[in-house]
Parts: sequence; structure tokens; C-alpha cells
Amino acid sequence: MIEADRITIRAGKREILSSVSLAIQPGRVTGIIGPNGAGKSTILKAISGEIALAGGTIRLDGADMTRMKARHVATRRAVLPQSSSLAFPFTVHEVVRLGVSGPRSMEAVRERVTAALARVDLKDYGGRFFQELSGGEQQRVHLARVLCQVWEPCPHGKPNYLFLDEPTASLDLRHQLLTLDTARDFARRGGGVVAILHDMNLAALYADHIIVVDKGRIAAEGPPRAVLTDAMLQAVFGVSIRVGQAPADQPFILPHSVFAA
Amino acid sequence: MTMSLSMPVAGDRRSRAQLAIVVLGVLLLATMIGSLCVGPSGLSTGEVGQLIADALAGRFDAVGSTSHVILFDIRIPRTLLGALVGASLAVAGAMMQGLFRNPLADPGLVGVSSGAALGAVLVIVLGSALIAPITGIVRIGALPIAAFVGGFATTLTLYGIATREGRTSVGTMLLAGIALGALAAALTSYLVFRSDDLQLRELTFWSMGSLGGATWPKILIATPPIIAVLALMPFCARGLDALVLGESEARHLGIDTQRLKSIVIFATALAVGVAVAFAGVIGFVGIVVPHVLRLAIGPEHRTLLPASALLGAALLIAADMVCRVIVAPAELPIGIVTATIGAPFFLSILLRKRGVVDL
Repeated sequence: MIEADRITIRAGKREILSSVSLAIQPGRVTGIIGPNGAGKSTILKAISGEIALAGGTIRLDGADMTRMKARHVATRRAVLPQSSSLAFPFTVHEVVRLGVSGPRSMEAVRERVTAALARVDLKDYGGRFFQELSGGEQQRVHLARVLCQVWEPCPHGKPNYLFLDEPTASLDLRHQLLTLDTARDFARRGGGVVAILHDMNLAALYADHIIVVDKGRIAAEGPPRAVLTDAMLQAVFGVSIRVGQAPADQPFILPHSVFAA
Repeated sequence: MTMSLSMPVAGDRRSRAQLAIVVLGVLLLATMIGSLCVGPSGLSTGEVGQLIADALAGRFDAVGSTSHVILFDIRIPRTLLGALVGASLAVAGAMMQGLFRNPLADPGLVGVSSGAALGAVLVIVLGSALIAPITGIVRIGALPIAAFVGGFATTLTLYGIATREGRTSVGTMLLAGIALGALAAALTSYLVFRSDDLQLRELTFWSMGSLGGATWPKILIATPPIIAVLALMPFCARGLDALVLGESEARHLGIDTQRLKSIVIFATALAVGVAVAFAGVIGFVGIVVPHVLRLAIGPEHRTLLPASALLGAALLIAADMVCRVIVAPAELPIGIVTATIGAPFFLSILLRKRGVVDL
């Protein structure tokens, strides 16, 4: 389990995160939602060790994560960035291979890369140049790379973690669902997943646990049904809309106007 | 052998790269042999072969003869120096481009060579005139150290200026490099202005580059640091690959980016420092070689770095052969040849990437 205990992050004098505590449990998809500038990405950056803490601790299975070596942390969690460009003409195969580490035979590495590409629906893209792909395709190549990094969700009973920063941002509908299916599958097989999501319907559909961030604090958390309420949407997002019920018995949100009619 | 038997997978260029490294090794060997046989003295290929065969067989009848001196005290050290300098410049270029995530970073272009040259010139001018006369082996040893310090300080400053929050600005890098290079060149010019005739002769050599001063003591001093740089290649290859994605992405992949940057800056400065100390400022090798290889075998540093070393060595030896032959019995400074090939090359990269490189 990854536990953040009262973490505080400052940019200059301003507090971006104020004493936030949260736990990333293996076996479930944790969705982080919140308005722009609430601190969602900052939380993800903090738990992936990208920014220094002004206070608090982050622990992985009880050990202080900020003191662990990058090499060790990388075997336990992978981070999918929002976007990233490449300066050199790498092929898709070569980019995905960056995720595979440790001494393995060339044959095993190739198999892993091929399997990862198939998972993200880019089976025959290995030989294409990364720079020539569309934004959504590049995003999926990175997902394949990240999957290679923590291929087994829970090897020897030790769960691995996937951090996804708006994984569906530039994807079409089919691949939004495919990506989140992959994330959910990772969690079902024992791994832990954290995803920043903007689409609340997708959050309701895929997250087992939702954390609502607002003004650098956690405004609400719990299962989707408990969190996605009219009152929360009004208080946090400033929209007066009703949460409806559809597909099956999951809540869904249909944005029609920011202001009540 | 994995490279011939395994099935090719689309986008996996590693087998091709390994094959290319073997071919480049053969090419380097051929260039070295060619370099031993070419020169204004008219020493024939047959004589060269005979002299080498004699030496290998332990016969030293020819020691002291003109042809023996030409081969063993001029051509062999010169060829070896060409290999060492060419390899260091190309590897330094490839590493620096990886560090800056930009194919246009070149030690010569962004002022690192000028910084190194300033260090070396300081030793030549101040070393003999102002502080204490330092001569002989101490002087040969002090040159690369001073050049290394100059190159190191320049690289560090450049990286500090051009990189913010893990993002390197190409425009800032090139412009800051020009400014730093101009500053170093101004100081160098001042020193040249203050120097005497004897120093002046030695100093002109820095500005255009030459392998003409190769001697065995220089080879002995240049070899260990360059071997050290080459030995560092496997330790930064995966890191440099990951760094292409961005600094935080590299860290997420488990790379200790601070350590990686220190190693690369150190290695680059060392390679350029030694090259500049013994062969002067030779531009464009560091840009042309890695660029051609990226097109041919892909940008993965695990193969790009060793291939750059081999091709850089072969290219510089070949350029030196041109220098020795083209205006014989006089010699052309090697910087003229590399710039003539390299500058149009650089422009062609710029033209092709005009849309991609934001300045």
C-alpha cells in the first residue's frame, strides 16, 4: 500500500497541498477528480517523487518512499505522463522497450514489447516512428511502455502500482474505454492504480474509490456512489446539476449547463 | 549469434546496429592502415609493411633510419592521435546531444571547445611567462587538465543557463553557447595579443586544429582519460535513452538523473578537454557522426555511442589524410576540412527540422 500522510507542498509561499492524507490500496482503481488547479497533478507528482515535500511522509509498504532509490521505486510503480515529445527518431518498438529493464534475453524483451503493443491496440505499429504518430497514438505507446515497466500487477504477493495522469485525455472513445479496462484489469489482478480523471462518467464507471480534491485539500472520498452527489458537484465544481442513474446502477453525470435552469 | 539467427521484429534495429558496429570497426582498421601508408615523404606501402613486419618479428635493424623514424615517430603516433581525438569528439557530441535532448548540441558549436582552448592557452601563455616556466612532460600533462577544467566549467554553465525544471530550451542553449564561446574566444585573443612570437606559433595551431604535433608522450597521456570516457559509455546509455523522454520520465523509469547528468558532463568535458589539448579546436565531428549514425542505426545510445567512437575515429583519420595530401608538401589545418564537410551538414539538419526545432 502507498500511504501519504499529511503531505504539504508549497510553491513559494502558497500552499498547493495542505496536509493531505490518502492511501493507494492495491486491488482497486483510485480515481482523483477535482476542478482545474485543485492540486490533482500535484498529488500525483508528490507520490511519484517528482516534487519535494514541505511536510508529511509518503510510505510504500511502510518504508519511506522519498528515501528509496529511483531504481527501486521504478520496479514497483510506473508513471504515465500527460504528454511527452521525443527529440530523436525512435521507433515505437524502441520507445516501449525503454520500459523493460533488468537483464533479460533479447527474445524475451521482444515478446514483452510485442505483447504490450497488442494490449494498447497498436499491434502493427512497432516499426513506425514515434514522432509521426498522432497525439492519441503516442499516448497509447507510452501506456504500453508503462505497462512493460510493471508487467506483473502483483509478483510474489507484492503489489505494483500504476500512476496515470489523465490517461484518456487525447483518446477516442474506444481507446478511452480500452485504456481504463487495462487499468481495471491491472487492479483486479492485485495491482494498485491511481488515475486523474476529468470525465466523471468514466470515473464513476471505472473507479472503485474516488478522491475529490479541491483547493489543495481532500473534499470527499469514498466509493463513486457515495462521492458523486448533487451536493458535492455544487460545493466543489460550482455546478447545479443532478446526478442521474444509468448504465446499470452506477451514477452518471450529464453536463447540460453550468447554471441551474 | 543472436544477430543473424533471431527473427527481425519491426522497429527493432539493434541487430542492424550491432552489424554496423562490426563494419565500422573494419572501416576504422582500414583507415588506420591507409593513414600509415600516406604522406609527403614517399614512403611506399611495401616499405611500411616491411617495417611493421620487422618490428613485429623483433628485428630492429632499421631503427634510426629515416623511414623508421617517419613510420614509428610520425605516422603511427599521428594515426593513433587521430583515432583518439576523433573518437572523443564524436562520443562527446553524441553524449551532449543526449543530455540536451537536441541533435544540434555540439561541443564546438556551443562553446565547450572554446572554453577548453582557453584553458589550454592559459597554460601556454601564463605558464611560461607569468607563473613559472613549465616544460616537458609536466607541460604536456598540464595542458589537458587546464583544457578539461575550461570545458567542464563551460558545459556546467551552459547546462545551468539552458535548462529549467528539466526542460532544455534549444534557443537558449545555442545562443548561450555562442555567448560563452565568444567570451572564451575574447579571453583567448587577449592572451594571444599578449603572447610572444614563439607562443604565437603554438597558439595559431589551436584555432584551426591539427594532428601534426602527435608524439608518443602525448599519446600516452591522452589515452587513459579517453579510455575512461569510452568505459563510461555503457553506464550512461540506458539513462540517456530514458532522458530523451524528459527528465521526470527518466526518473520514473528508475534513472538517477542527477548522477547521470554529472557523469555525462564530466565525460564530455574530459573528452573535449583532451582532444583540444592535443589537437586544437576541431569542429563538427561531434555533430556529423552521431547524426549520420542515428539515421542509419537508430538513436539508442547503447549502440550509438560505440558506433560514434568508431566512425569518429575513422572520419578524423581520413580527414587528416586529406590534409596531408591535398597541398603536399605543406599541410592543411584539419579544422578547415571538418568545417567544410560539417557546416553544410549542420545547415541541412536545420533546414529539415525548421518546423520542429523552435528557436
